[in-house]
Amino acid sequence: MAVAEEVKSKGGNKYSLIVPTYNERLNIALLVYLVFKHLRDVDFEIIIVDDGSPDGTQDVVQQVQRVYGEDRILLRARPKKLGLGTAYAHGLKHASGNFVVIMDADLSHHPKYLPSFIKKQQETGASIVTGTRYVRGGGVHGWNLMRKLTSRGANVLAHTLLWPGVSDLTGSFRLYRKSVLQDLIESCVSKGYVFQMEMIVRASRKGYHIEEVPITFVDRVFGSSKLGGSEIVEYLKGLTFLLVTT
Amino acid sequence: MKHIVKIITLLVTISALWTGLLQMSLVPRSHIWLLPIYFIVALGCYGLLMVGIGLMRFPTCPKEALLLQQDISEAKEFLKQSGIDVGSD
Amino acid sequence: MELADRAVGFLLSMISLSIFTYYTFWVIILPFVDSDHFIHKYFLPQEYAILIPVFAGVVLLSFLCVFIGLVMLKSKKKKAQ
Repeated sequence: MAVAEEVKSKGGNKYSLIVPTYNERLNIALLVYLVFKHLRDVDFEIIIVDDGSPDGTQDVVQQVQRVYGEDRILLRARPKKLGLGTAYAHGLKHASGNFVVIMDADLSHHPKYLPSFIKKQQETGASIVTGTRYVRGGGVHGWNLMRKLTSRGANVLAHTLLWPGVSDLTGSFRLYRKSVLQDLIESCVSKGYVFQMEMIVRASRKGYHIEEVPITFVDRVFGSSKLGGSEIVEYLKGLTFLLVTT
Repeated sequence: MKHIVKIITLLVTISALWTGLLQMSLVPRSHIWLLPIYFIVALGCYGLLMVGIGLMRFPTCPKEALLLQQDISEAKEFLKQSGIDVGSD
Repeated sequence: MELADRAVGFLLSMISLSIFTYYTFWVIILPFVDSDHFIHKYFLPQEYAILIPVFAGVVLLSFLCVFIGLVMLKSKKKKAQ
């Protein structure tokens, strides 16, 4: 495994993009186009893990496969909604690259930042490069006051209690060394977006080299990303869980 | 070491210092009794300040939203030419 | 919109800073000032320096508990349906 990775890195790295989808019929095609536009001379593959979307996401993916080739776009569907964490594990099983990028399909993660992730990794040799929205050059669009307030509050709470050394804990646009992601997925148990936080906190505790690059996050429908009471409670539970287990 | 242990160690150290101060009674007793509450109030103020500053300097990117719209229409154009049916929004 | 959000942020920081300065003055500096000094007129007696924060803390905690309880009840109901 380690030897194979070394051989690969000599001949250039290969990046596997894992994109979990559920009812992203329109967005997934746009995303694929934009990825191909921005990653021109990089060896990569896109692994789409579709959780049985009823809107025909898989049909669109098959059409896109005809244009770009089935070796570049892999459809690895699952019969029903099974959650984010297992979606990554599922995609990872089929990944042939030595680096894995995880991103959302809804275009809130713009593929134009992929080159900066790759560049950062190559410059620093980091095991994880995580996109952060809260530094200069990054940003968020389309959040109302309440959303901003809860996000800031959550961040301050997490930083005071966990000291994670990473500025954006709940963002999910990240590049991992494949072996590192495998290790992390095995040791993480949370669900939903607490999972993202658990991954990065555990990575930081395990001493993996983490670097950050600024990204922007655009909510296309203003105020669509809501944080209800149940999300807040989930977050608090996750925080307590991380506090006693990491 | 689990993180909670680190935090508890920190708290224990602080309270040890505090009881030490209480024993020494260099300053009036009532004064030292107030210190833990002062500590909590300070922590609360720190939290509120950080949230306030975070909100004040919250990075936003209205330009990005426009750029994304451009990218989307460009992508749609290409997909139409390639015969991929993406339908409307 | 944007500006209003920033203003709220500024307001929060100011509130926090003024509470902190007032409280620091009240608890740390005032006991060293003579009790017949005019400045004592601007502060409540020392007991309140304990009572108010404790009261606020209890209110905040109970609010949090009620909130978490309500949300949990709601999600349980949803599951039962």
